[in-house]
Parts: sequence; structure tokens; C-alpha cells
Amino acid sequence: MDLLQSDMTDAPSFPYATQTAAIGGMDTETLNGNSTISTGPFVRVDDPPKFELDSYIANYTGRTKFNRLYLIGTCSTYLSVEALKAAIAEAKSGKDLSRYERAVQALSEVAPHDAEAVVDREWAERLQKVVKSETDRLEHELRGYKNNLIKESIRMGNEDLGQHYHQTGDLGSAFKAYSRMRDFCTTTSHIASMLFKIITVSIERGDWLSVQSNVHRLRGLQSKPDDEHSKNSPKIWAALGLAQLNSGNYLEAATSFLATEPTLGDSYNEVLSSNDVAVYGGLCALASMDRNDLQRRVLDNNSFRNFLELEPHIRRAISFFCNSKFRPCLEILEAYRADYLLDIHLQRHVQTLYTRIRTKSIQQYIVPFNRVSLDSMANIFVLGNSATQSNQTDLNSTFVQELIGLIQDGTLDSRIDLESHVLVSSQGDKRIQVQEAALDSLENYVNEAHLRLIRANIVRAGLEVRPLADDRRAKLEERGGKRSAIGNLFSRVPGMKP
Amino acid sequence: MSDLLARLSAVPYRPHVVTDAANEDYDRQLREFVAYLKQPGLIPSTSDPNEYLQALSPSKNSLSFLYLLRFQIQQAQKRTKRDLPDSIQPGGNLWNLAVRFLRSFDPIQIRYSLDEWRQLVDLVASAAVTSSKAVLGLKATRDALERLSPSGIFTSTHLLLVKLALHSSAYTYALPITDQLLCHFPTDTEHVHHEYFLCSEQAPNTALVTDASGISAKLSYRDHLQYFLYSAMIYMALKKWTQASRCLNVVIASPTANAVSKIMVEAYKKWILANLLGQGKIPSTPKMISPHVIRVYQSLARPYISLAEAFEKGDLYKMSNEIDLGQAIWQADKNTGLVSQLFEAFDKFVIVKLGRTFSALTIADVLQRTSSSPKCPREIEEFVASLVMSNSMRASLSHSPDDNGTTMLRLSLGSQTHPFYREEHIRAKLMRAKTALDTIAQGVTQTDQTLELSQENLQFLAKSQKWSVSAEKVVSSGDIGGGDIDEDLMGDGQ
Amino acid sequence: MDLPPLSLDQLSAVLSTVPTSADLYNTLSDYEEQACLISAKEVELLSVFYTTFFFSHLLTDQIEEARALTKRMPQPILQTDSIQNCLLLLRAVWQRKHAGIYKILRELPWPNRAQSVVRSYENYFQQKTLNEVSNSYEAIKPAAAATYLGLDPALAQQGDQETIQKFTACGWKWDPETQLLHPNPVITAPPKDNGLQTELSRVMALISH
Repeated sequence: MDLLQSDMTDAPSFPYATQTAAIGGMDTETLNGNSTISTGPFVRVDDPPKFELDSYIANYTGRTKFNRLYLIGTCSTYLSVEALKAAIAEAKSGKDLSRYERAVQALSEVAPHDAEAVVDREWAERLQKVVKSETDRLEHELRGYKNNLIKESIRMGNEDLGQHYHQTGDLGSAFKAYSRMRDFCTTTSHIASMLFKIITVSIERGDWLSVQSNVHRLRGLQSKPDDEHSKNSPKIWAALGLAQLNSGNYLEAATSFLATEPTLGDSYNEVLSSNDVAVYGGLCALASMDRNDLQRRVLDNNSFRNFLELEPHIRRAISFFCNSKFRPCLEILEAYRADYLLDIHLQRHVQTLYTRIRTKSIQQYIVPFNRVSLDSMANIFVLGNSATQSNQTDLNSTFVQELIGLIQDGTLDSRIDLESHVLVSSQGDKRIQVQEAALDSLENYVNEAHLRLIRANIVRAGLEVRPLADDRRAKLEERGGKRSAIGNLFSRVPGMKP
Repeated sequence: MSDLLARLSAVPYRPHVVTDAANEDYDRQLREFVAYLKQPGLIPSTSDPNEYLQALSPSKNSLSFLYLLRFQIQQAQKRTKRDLPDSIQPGGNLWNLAVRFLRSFDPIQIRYSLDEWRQLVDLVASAAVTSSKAVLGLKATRDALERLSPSGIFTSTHLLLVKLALHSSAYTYALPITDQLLCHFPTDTEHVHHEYFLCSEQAPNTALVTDASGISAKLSYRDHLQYFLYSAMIYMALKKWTQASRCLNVVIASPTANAVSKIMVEAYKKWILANLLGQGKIPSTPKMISPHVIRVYQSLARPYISLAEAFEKGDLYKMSNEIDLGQAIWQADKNTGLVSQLFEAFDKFVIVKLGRTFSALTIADVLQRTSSSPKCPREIEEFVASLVMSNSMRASLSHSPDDNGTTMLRLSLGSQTHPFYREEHIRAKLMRAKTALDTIAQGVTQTDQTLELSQENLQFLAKSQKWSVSAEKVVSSGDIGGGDIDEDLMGDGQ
Repeated sequence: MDLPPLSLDQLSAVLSTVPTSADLYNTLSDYEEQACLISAKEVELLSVFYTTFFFSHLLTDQIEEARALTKRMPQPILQTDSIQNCLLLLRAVWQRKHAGIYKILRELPWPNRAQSVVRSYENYFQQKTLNEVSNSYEAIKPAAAATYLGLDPALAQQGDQETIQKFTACGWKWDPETQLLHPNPVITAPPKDNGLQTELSRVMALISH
């Protein structure tokens, strides 16, 4: 709890919080339908990813398996057929007709002549009937339990119904059914299991607010540490981290993932794997922490080390960053860009995270220098083929344009010298800056003091701007009032007309 | 006859040692003398007052001279049945006497006859204007006002002065007056502090800051608003944008009760333009303006605000568009001249701003970064050179040896002043601030005294602030056309 | 402080006696009143007066006010050749067209009585531009420098010894290899002033009160 609160206070210092929160908001808005992936492909990835599809997908269980396959199938041109075929097989083993249809539809677009690109009508109709009768049966049973007023039965009835809806892809109904279990839970472990179910559905719906609030409920439950607690705790942290990542709160997300105990293992495979925790946590930390924190909270973190061992390149990228070896760090990230763009939770954040890591690297790189040559910077920050680097320090090169952007938005306090092709720190003459600031504030002070004095005396002389008919001085003369100035001032009543 | 002259040329004794008693005595004598001069029929209508006027010294016998001169002017007016007889027109006999008087009177004596003094100034001014020689009226008025030296008190003569300056398009002549900091406004108080006498030379003089002293004609809120607006227009004609903006600040931050004057809206429009031209951006408005007044400004000056947005964003296309769209507005507001200067200012600030991103770049690079302006490299180099040479930006230029070589522009950071002049520059700024602070501190002391800064008054001030917040109505302030200037300042430049 | 009446001779006398440009401007602004009262028929006197007065503005860097002056002088005078030349000059100065300015000053017919003030402005402008160029350019081609200073750019480009010498006489350095001039910045040392600290502390004292 303490940790979370300190995270919250960190939030306002987060420069992009609002910007990415908006992206998070869009997530919930567009994904509130039945599935996280109901919208069209977000990006197109032409590069082959580093992972083996089979072994990658074997890390997961449950509905996320299909969702991930479908995302890869629709985004990666390289893996599309393979992934979509796997997705179709996955869908056919389940009870959700709509995802089967979507997978077939997607496959028919990339491989129209494939045998599997045609909907198996017979199977579909049979499934529809089965689902329908199952739904009827479960609802009927539930009504029976309700009549009998046996709490435990009602809870289980709702659970069964929720599970059924979940499996058939009706996430909204599943969420409602699970939520109805609440009143009939008698033990904390019942409540915990109910909340986990809600969280899983909410994650699939992309309803990150619901994920966060239910995580908080879960944590409220864990008053005394016991077996169940140590089993649930890593899942709770991981779910929270996921919600924060998706809301764009990268520092908070990093903190949550770092707090996830390695006992997570494969216990939460219906949502994410331990590898994911390493990648998500590592990237969020890299994008949001300074070198000290990265060293102390990530690299020297014995518990998180277990995760990092699963994804050693993330660990390498972080150590490179900490040792100011920015090019290898960025190269590693670049090499894995395709992988992360094919990750269901990272896809939307890869660009932001990468840009932020890159910007931080550039900032870090120039810290020790008063002047640093653009060539040496280009050597580090212009990735890819070195043959094209000859004109990387021209005004028009993308790299110089990137620097200009960073200077103009205030990220870099430096200026570009296109004569000697160096980046010059603006931290030049502090003394002059201070003198000028002092003079400015002195002038502002004088001007404001003068303005206030004039205003006070205008009011005193009764010369404020007022409606024409309401000229106090003329009025007083008519009355021939003979009073002191103070008296006159107080005889005024607002809105008084002659 | 000679008795009268003797009486007229008897000057009340001016105390050398300034004590309250001596001042009181001098005060009494001067009052008695004025009462004597005011007797009807003092000068026999048969006699020739010219003779007396020749005998009297305008600097020593200022009161007598003033009354005799006025007597003669009235005679001439009666004789010719005209308000401005030929002899008071520039070059005429009475004109010469009047101008001589206004340049040499004794300011202490005249404090006892400020009404008559003011009427003489007005007469001289209108004689000058009607004979289309406003500049003569301007100089006489300025000299008279400088001589009277009303230490920070705003008077109707100040307004007359700036109107004359705009009317005659002779701006520099008005600066000695407009450069002074004004703090005080005559009040209708009869609550005169008795420890001060009109003749007291100790400034600031609380006895002067009253309607009763006659130092100013009856004022309305329009007068001081117009004065500061016109002062700003004078500064703008001389391209002194900082001073202009300071004057406009006074207008737009003027205290209000239930109304916003049209003059204030005019001032707000000019305030936007002056700041764009002077600083390339709009600073925040003074804090004391109440939000509803700001809302009135924003709704009535919308074209100016969107123009300023385009300017500040560096969007030349949008700015030109806004300028074209608003032609009728600028014309109606008499701001065409200022608006037309925005183009040059735009180019200037785009280049000056390069100094924040670059420490050196070639003219070709400059051209590329400012590609919106249709200039050839030669023109842009000339323009940049003129900015550097006129000290609008701190930079240096360097030609390269080869024939078609590019010119390098090296930009320094920070202040626009040359480093070698920095100390001097800072010193000058400090001295200016110090003088201003002295004046303000004096003004505050006096305001404290006259207001008897009491809890009651503070409450009153607090209350009056609240009124202005609740106000909503916009009231037209009548015409301010009288002294409008031809602002087409760029005519020569194009 | 009554001035002797304004006449052509009096003008010449003023021109030859006033020590500085500021004095010239002040004296002539006092005479403006007399000029206002002189009949517009005295075209020659008024034209010479206003020409001289106009130049006294330029000599004191009051270009905006110089422009205002041309707006308020009597109409008939505005039409004289001399004042028309002034308007051309004003435009050139406003636009900072150096070549044009020298050409107008040197080649247009100016009244004899105004010659001295025209010449002194030419010198003033040349000196002012020299200072500006010295402080603005680190390296400059001779032709460009010559244009700024009213010398023959063609000669300068050929590396004419006489022209180059004029620059080196100002402390500029000539690099024959690169064919570039390196101006010498004009530095005026700030006067030693111990009063600054006390002034500062007084200002601070005022603020804190």
C-alpha cells in the first residue's frame, strides 16, 4: 500500500501523463466491445519477429491465447497465415463462435484459397445450438438456486454462468454474472477468486479502471499473510502493472512489475507470462527512471532478477543504458521492435516508450559535455546502415531535425552549431542569466507598483470607469453635499442611479 | 496710475527660511494679493494696460502679469466680439506676451491662480490649433506644464498636451511630460491637510491634488484613459514599444465599476499590437484586471487575438490570412499602420528566435528555416545583417573566402546588448528603476497621508474591487477621434 | 532666451557655431516656432531651414521624428527639390539601403546653405556604419564592406590597395590569401564606477520597504 501511494505522488511529475492517459482512455472506449481485438489491426509489422510462434503461444492458456494469435495474425505479414491458422484451431477448440468467424475472415483476406479460410458451417451451427442450450440450462439452474435461497449454490450458479458467458465471448454478461457473485461469497477466498475472475474479464475488455479498482479490493482483502496471499500477491501486482501500463503511467507500471514476486511463474498464464513481466517492467523502467534508479531498483533488485533472466536482452539493454552505452542499448530495443509490436499489451506503447528512452539517452549523453560534435552523436543515435551517415549532420537530416524538435520543446537546453557541427550547451553564463532575471523582476516590480498606485488614486479621486449616467462627481455637485473625502467614498452605493 | 503700478509690482515676500510660520505668512500674503487682483474695476478701462505689462516682469510679478494679460485679452475679445481676436493668434501681440509668460512665470505664485493660468494655456492652445499651427500650442503647453511641474499630478493640461502632439504630429516634443510618472489625480476633497500650504515647495504637495486648487479642469474617467492611450500612441509613432505598452497597461488595468470603457477596449487592441511589434509575443495581462473585464476584451478584440496567435506560432500563412480578413476592422480601428508593420516584425522575430535553437548556421540554412517568407538569399542576408547591425539580435556575420561561399551567422545567447556595454546597460537600467521607485515611494507616502490609511479605507478599497467583478455592462465612452494620428508609419518603408 | 530672428544668415551662423548635433537639434527646434510664423512665400528660407532641421534629426538618430517632421511642414515647402530629396533620403535610411543613401547624399543637388549639414551627416552615417559593421562582421568581403561605407565596390573587389588601406587604417586586418577583411570590434570600456554597488543597495533597500 505504501508503495502505491508513493507512486501516486510521483504521477504529477510525469511529463507525458496526460498525453498517454488520453491514449489509455481511448483503449477503454474503443475496446469496450466483446474483445480486446475487435478493432482492426493497429499496426502492420513486416519484419520477422525473433520468437518462435509455437513456443511463444505455448506460454499462455485461456482466451488470451487466441487474442494474441489473432493480433499477430492480423499485424504481422510474416506470420499471418501461421498465426491465423493457429487462431482458428484455437477458436474451434472453444465455444466462442464470433472469434472463429473473425479468424476465418482474417485468414480469407491473407490466404483466400486456403482450405481453412472457409467457415465450417456445420460446426458453427452445432456450436450455436450447444451454446444456446447450455445458456438456458445454466440460467434455469440459477433460478432454481435462487428460489432455494442457498447462498453457496447461488454463488456457484453465477460463477458457472459467468464462466460460460466468458467462454462464449459474451464479456459484458460474464462481467455482470461474476459481479452478482459478490453478495453470496462467504469466505475471503471466495471473494478473491471472484475478484480475479472480474479482473480477467476486465483485462480482456480493456476496462483498466475496473482492473485497478478490483485490484485495490483484492489488496484490501489480504489482511493476514497466508498461503493464499503469497499465491495471489504476484498476480495482483502483475494485473495492476498491466492496468498502469495501459493507462500510460509508465513509472507506476514499472514499480508494480518490479514488485511482482518471481513466484508468479506460470500461474497467471491466462493473462501474461513471467517473460512479459520482465519485458513490460524493463521497458517501463527504462523509459521512466534515471540511471541511479535503474541500477538500484532494477538491476540490483534480487527478486526482479529472476524475471530478467528470462529475457536477458532486456537486462543487457538496461545495463548498457546505465553504463552510458546508448547505441547498443537502442540497437537491442530496435532489434526487438517487431516482437513488441506484436504483443497484445505493448503494441500501442512501443513508440512512446522507445521515443522516451531515446530522448533520455540523448539527454544523458550530452550531460557531461559543453560541446559535443554532431558526428559523434549521429554515430550513436543514428541507427542502421552507416553508409548513409555522411550527411547526418546537415540541417535537413532526420537526426538534426529531431534535435531541433527536442530543443524547441525544451527537452534539450542546448543549441546547434551548424558551422562546426556541434551541439553547444546553453548553460553558459549563469551570472548573466541571473542578472537579467533580477533586472527583469525589478522592472516588473516597478511597473506593477506604479500601476497599483495609479489605481488606488484613481479610485480615491472617484475616476473609475462607470456607466455614463452614474457619474458620482456630477451627482455630488447637484446635491451640493459637503463632506469629507472619506465620507464621500462611503456614501457610494453600487448600482445607485441619480 | 503709478500707485496702481507700484501696488501691482509689489511682490509678496518669499521666505528664505522654510518654516511653517514663514510659509503660512507667505500663503496669507499671496491669497490677499490674489483677492486684490480680483477686485472688479481694478484697472481703469480708460488706461492702456500695455504700459503696465511692459513694466511688469512675468517671472517676478507673475500674478499681476497674468491678471493684466487676461484683462487685456478680455478687452480684445470684447472689442472684436471674437473668442480669438487676431492679437492672440500666433504672432500677434497678445500671443507673444502669453507665450513669454508661459515660459517664465513663477510656479509658486501661480499656484494661487491656477484656474486663470489654465485658461490661458487653453486659449493659447486653441489659438494655435485654429490657425493650423498646433505645434506652437504644443511647445507652449509643454513649457508651461514643465514650469509648473505638478509633480506627478494628472491634470486636464496633460491631456491637452498629448492631443496637441498627435494633432501636430510632433511627438518628441511631448516626451518630457509623458516620460514623467504620474501617480496622483485631483480629488474633490475639502479635507485639506493644514500642515501643507499651496506655496510649500516640499513635494509632493497634497494641497495641490484637489479640485479646489484649480490645477485641472473637472475630470472624468475618460480623461485619464485618453491621456494614457494617446501617450501610448505617441510612443508607438516613435516605435518606443516598451513605453507604449506601459501606458496601455495603465488603461487596460484601470479600475472599473459596472462598466468597461470603449477606450479600454481600444487600448487592449493596441496593447496586443504594440507587444507583438516590440517583443514578438503577448505578455500576460496585469494581474489586477478583473476576469470579467478580460472577458469583455477577449470578446471585443477577437480578430486581434487570433492575429496574435498566428504571429506567436510563427504561422506566416495564417497571419497573412488574418490580416487580409481583418482589413475593414484594422481600418475602422485606425490600426492599419500598426498591423502593416507586423510583417517585418514577424520576419524579425522568426530570425531572432533562431538564436534559441542554433548557435551558428549559414544564411542558406536561415532561408530554409524561414522558408515561408519569399526572399532570395541575398535579401535574407541583407535583412539579417540589418538586424545584427541595429542590435536587434546578438550575433555576428562572417563571409567565407570562396566566391559563392555562404555567409555564416553566429548567434550569441542572452541579452541583446553587446557584452562590452553590459555593465553600463545594467547601470542605466538600475538608475531608471531607482528613479521610478523614488517617485512611486513618494507617491505612496503622499497617498498614505491623504488617505489616512485606515482600516475603513482599506475596506473600502476591497469593496470597490468587488464591485468591478460583478459588473458586466459595456458602455461606450464617446468619441476618441479628436486626436487620432495617421498611423501609416510604414508608408516610407514600402 | 529670445532668439535672433530666423534668416538664412542666422541659420548659417547657427550651423557654424553649435558644438554638437544635439545642440543643433535643440536650437533648430526652438527656431521651428519662428519658422511656423514665417510666410510660406519665403520658400528658400523655409526650405533651407526644414532641410537643415531634417538633417539634425538624422544626426541625432531620430528617424521616426524626422518622418513626423515631414508630415507637419508647410505644404508648399514639401514640394521643393530639397525637401523631396530629404524624403528620398528618409526612405533609403528607413530601409537601410546603404548604397542608396550615399548616392542621394552625394549626387542629388542640395542647397548650398545645407551643404555643410549634408556633409556632416554623410560623415556621421559613414562612421556609424563603420562601427556597426565592425561589431557585426567577423569577416567581410571587401566589396560588401565598400558598399556599406560608400566606397567603390568594384575597386574593392579587385583588391585595390588604396581602398584596402582605408579599412586597415580603421584597425581592420586584411587577409590577402582569403581576400577577406577582418573588422576590429569597436569597444568602449565601461567607465569605472564604484557608485554602482551603493546605488544597487539603495534600490534594494527601497524594495524591501
